[in-house]
Amino acid sequence: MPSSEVHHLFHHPIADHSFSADRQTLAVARDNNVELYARSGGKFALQDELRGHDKTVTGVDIAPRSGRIVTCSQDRNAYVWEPSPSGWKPTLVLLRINRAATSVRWSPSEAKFAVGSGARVIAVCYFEEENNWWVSKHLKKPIRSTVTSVSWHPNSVLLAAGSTDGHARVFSSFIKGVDPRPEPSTWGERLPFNTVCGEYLNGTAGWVHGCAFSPRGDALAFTAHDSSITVVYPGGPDQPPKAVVSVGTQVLPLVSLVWTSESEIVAAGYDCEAFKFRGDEQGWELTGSVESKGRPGLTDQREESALNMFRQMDLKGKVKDDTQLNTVHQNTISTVRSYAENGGSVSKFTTSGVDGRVVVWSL
Amino acid sequence: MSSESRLYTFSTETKDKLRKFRLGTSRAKDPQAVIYQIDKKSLEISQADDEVYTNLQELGDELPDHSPRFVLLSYPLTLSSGRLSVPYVMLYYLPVTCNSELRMLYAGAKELMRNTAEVGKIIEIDTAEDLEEIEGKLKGEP
Repeated sequence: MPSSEVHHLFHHPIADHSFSADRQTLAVARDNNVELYARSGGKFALQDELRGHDKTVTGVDIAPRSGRIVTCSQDRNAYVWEPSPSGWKPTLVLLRINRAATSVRWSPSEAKFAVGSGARVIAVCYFEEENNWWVSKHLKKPIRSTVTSVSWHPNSVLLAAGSTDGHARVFSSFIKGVDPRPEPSTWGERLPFNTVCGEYLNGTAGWVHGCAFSPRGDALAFTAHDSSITVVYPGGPDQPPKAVVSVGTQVLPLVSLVWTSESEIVAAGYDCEAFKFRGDEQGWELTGSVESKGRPGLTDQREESALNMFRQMDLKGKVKDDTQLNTVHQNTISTVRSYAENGGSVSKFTTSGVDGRVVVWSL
Repeated sequence: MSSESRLYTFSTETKDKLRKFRLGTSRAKDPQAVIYQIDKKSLEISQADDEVYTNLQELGDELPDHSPRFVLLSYPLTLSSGRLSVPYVMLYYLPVTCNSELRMLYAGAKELMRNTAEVGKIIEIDTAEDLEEIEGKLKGEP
C-alpha cells in the first residue's frame, strides 16, 4: 500500500536534497545556505547550517561512504564540506565557469564529482594529492546550452547530461590516475576524456530536464519539457541504438526521475506528484501515479456540512474549499532520489519541492 | 628583486649547470631543453630531472598537468633572411588548473630565474600543446 512520510520543513523552495548513507541526516538547499537536519523520532530537526555561498544553492549531494558534502550555487562556485569534530570545513573548488552552476553529483567511486552549469560546460572535479587542491576539467564539446542535470554510470567514468539544447548526451570523463580503466560496455571501449558516446534527441527537441542511467548502466532515460520520457538502449560503440522509446504523457512536464528497477522508472515534475512508468526495449508506458487520490489524511479538514458551506461562501465567496491541491506536494517537485532498496529494486524514494516539503514514499 | 634572492635559493651545483647549459648549447643542431622546478618546502630552484630534451614532443609529455614549471630552451633556427640563430629563451609553463599558492610561488621566482639563467626572453605557455607554436613565436621576434 503506498504510504508517505511528509516532512514540511519550511515555507521556502528546496532546490535539491540529499540523505546521508544511514538516512539519519538530511541536507537541504535553502536559498544561499544548506541546512542539515537530523532525524529525531519521526521528525527531522535542524542540526547545522552550511554557510558559504553568496547566491542560491542549486545542488547538494552527500557521498554515501565518505560523508563529504558537495554543494554548488549560482555564484559559480562549488564547495566540498568535510565533517570534522569542530563542525563542517568547506574547501572552495575553482570550477572556472562564468555562469551559474545548476547541479552537482558525486561519482559512485566518490573520487570525482560533476557540476553542470549555465556556461555550456560540465566541470568534472577531482582531488590532486600532490598539490592538495581540487582540479576541475571541462567537458565542453558539443554542448550548446545550459546543462540542466548530470547523472553517473555505475563505472564512475561515463556521465549522462541533459541540456537545454534538446540533447541528452553520454560523455566519458575518464581521468588518468584517478579512474581505473573501465570495462568495455555497450557505450564504448577506448574512452579518452570528453568522448561523446551518444547524443540523443527526443521527438520535439525540447529542453531535457532530468536524466538517469539504469541501475546496471545499460540504458539511459531522460525527461523533456514536452512532457515525455525517452529511454535509450545503446546498440554498441559507434552503432545506432537498439531502441529509443519515447512515451508522451498528458501531465505537466516531468523534471526529475529515478530508476526503481531495470524496467521501472518513477518521475515527478510540475504536476506535483510522482508517476510510475514500466517497460523495456519493446515499449514503455505510464502505469499511474504513486499517490492514490482521496486519501483520508487530506480530506478530513473538509466538512461537507451545510454550516461549512455557508461559512465558505461568506468568507471566500466560493462554495467549495479548494485552495489546496489534492496531492501531498503543494508545488512543483524538483528532485526525486532513491531512499531505500530491497533486493536490487528501490522500495522507497524521496521527493522535495518548491513548497518546502521532503516526502518519503513507499512503493 | 633582492628580496626574492633571499627567499629562493640556488645551490652552487644548479648555478654551474645553468652556466654550462647556456654556454654549451649555442653550437647544437637540434633544440635543447631542461625543466626546472621549485621545491615547495625549501624554496630551492633546481632541475626537475637530469635529462636534456631534444624533442619538443617528449618535453610536452614530461610537463605535469596541474603544476607550473620553468623550461630553459635553446632552439636553432634558420630565419627567413637565411641567417642561423640560436635563441636562448625561458618558457614559463602555467596551466589554468594550478592553485593560487603554486602560481604565486612561481611568479615570484620568474625574474630571479631570468637573471640567474641569463635568458633573453620569457614566453608564457598554458598547455603542452602550445609548445608546437614555439618555433613561430621565436621567429616572430626581430
